[in-house]
Amino acid sequence: MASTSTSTLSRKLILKSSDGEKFEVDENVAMQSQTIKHMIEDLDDINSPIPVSIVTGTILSKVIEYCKKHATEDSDSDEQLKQWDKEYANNMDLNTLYYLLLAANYMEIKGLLELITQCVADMIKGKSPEEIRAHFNIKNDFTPQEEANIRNENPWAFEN
Amino acid sequence: MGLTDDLIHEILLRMPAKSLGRLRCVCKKLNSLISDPEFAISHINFLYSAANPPLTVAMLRYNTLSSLKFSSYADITEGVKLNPWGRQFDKDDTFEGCYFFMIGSCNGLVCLYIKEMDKKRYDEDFMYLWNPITNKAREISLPVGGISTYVYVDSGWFGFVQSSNDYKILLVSEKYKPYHEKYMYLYSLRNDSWRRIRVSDDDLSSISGSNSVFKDDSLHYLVHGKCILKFYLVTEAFERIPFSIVPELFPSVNQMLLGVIGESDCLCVAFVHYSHNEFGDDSTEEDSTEDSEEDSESDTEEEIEEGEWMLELWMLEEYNNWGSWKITYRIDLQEEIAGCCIRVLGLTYNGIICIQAVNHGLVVVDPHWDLPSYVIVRNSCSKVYKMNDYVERDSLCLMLWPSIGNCPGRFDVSSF
Repeated sequence: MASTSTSTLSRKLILKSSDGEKFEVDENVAMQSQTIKHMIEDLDDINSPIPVSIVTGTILSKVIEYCKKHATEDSDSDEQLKQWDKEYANNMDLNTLYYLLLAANYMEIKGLLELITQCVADMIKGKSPEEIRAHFNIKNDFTPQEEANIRNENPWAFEN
Repeated sequence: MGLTDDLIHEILLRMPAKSLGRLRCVCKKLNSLISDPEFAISHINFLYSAANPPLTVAMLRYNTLSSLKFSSYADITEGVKLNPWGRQFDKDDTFEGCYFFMIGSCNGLVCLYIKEMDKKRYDEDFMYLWNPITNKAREISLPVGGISTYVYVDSGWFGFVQSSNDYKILLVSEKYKPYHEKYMYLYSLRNDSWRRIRVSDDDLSSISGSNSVFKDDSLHYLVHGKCILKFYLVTEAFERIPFSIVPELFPSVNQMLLGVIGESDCLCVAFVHYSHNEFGDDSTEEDSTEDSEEDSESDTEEEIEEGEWMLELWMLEEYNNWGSWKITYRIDLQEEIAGCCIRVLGLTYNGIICIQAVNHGLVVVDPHWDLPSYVIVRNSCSKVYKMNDYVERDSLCLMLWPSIGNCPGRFDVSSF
C-alpha cells in the first residue's frame, strides 16, 4: 500500500487476523486497543500489517465495528451510544460473545471488555444453577451431598 | 468454560447477590472463586466504583418496608412500582403491634428501631441490623429506650465511616421521665458499644427533628434554614456553617431540605414552595413520628392560587468550600400534579424527587427533563413517610463468606 500525503490524524494501519484476513483501519480506531497502541510504538514501519494473532477475521471485524463507533466521539450522545452498545451485544450469539471476550481481553479494549462481561452477567442473572450449566455447558462436579450443603448455606439465594 | 480465572472474575463482579449465591452450586471452580474472601472485597469495591450503582429506595410505612422499583432510570414514566418487603423481618410475629422505624441503610444492611405500641407491655424498645436479602438480623442493645422515650428517627443515622473503618449508628432521643433530657449516642460496631456524645444543648436542639445527611464521614443538619450543623463522625466534633441562600423568585419557602445527589456527589439544598387546597384532606396532618421542617412563614401566604408547586435546587459544587453554592435548576410542577402534592419526602441519590401526595399516594418527579416527568404511585395500605437509599447488590458480600471476618473493614458484619 502506497502511503500518500496522509497527515498523522488520518494515518491508516493494517491489522491482520489469525487466519490471514487484513483490515485497513484509521489509527485512532485501532488505538483503542492498548495492545496495538504498544505494538505501534515499537514498530518501525507502520505500513506493514500488524498481527492480531489469536483473533479470527470474523471476530476482528466485529471488534473493529465497535472501535469505529467509539472512535467518533462527538457524533452521538452518551444515551445513543449506550443504546448502540446494547444492540451490538444483543446481536451476538454465545459463541461469538465468548470469542469477543477473549479478543477484548487480549487486545485490551476496556470498553468492549466491560460491555461483554456485563452482557454475560446479565445472561446469568435470573437463571438457576441447572439452567446455567446447560446454557454454558458446564459439568456439575459436585456430589449430590456437596451441592445440597452449599444450597443450605445460602437458602436466600433460591427464594423468589 | 475456557475462560481464564481473571475473565470469570470480571463477570462475577457484575453479578447481584442472589445470582452469586446460586452460582456457587454450579461447579467447584465457581464455588471456590466466589467463596474467596478476596473476591468479596473486590466485589464491594467494584460496586462502589461503578458509575451507576443499582439503587432501590426503601420506605417505611407503619411497620412495612417497601422498595421503589424503576423500570428504567432513564425514563421514569416507563413505570415505577412500590414493592412491599412483607413481614420478612418478623416472620414469627414477635413484634406484632410494634412500630418499625428505619434509622438508616448502608451496604445492604438496614438499621431498624422498633417501638412497642401495645400499652400493656410497652416498656422496651429494640434495635436491629438487618440484611433483607439474607433475612439475617442482629440485635443491638439500646442505651436508652422505653415508654417515656421519644426517638428522633430522621436525626439518627446508620452507616460506614471510612476513616474509622467502622460501622456506626447515631441515636438522638429524648426522655420525659423522671426528668426531661435529650441524648445523643454513637454506637460502634467494632467495639459493640454505645457512647454518649458530649454536645451543647443548643446543638442538640438543632439536630433533633432535623434530617441527617451523610457525606465525607460527616453528618449534616440544616438548622432552621439558617445554618448547617456538621458533625464529624471521626473526631465527634461539631461545626456550625452559616447558610444564607434565599431563592429569588419564590413567593415563600415552605420547606427546605438537605440531600446528596450522586451524579456529582454533591451536597445540595432543595427549596420548596407550595400552596394547595387545605380542605377535605386529613392526610396532611403530620404523623407524630415525623419531624416537620416547615418554615413558620408559610402560614402567611394564603392568597396564592391553589395547587402551586415550585422547587429550586442548589448544589455545593466543592465540598467544604461553603461559598460554592450554585443553583442547579428551578422547576414548576404541572398543575395536575401540584394539586395533590403534600410535601417533599426526599431526593434520591440519582436525583429523583419523592413527594408525599394525597390519598396515600407518592409522586416521583424526574427534574432532568425540560418539562419534568412524573409518575404517581398509588399505595393502598398506608402512607409513605420516609425514604432512604438502599443499595441492594452490596448485601451479598456481608453474607456469603464466614471467612470475611478476617478482612479489614468488613470484620464483624460477617454474621449477616
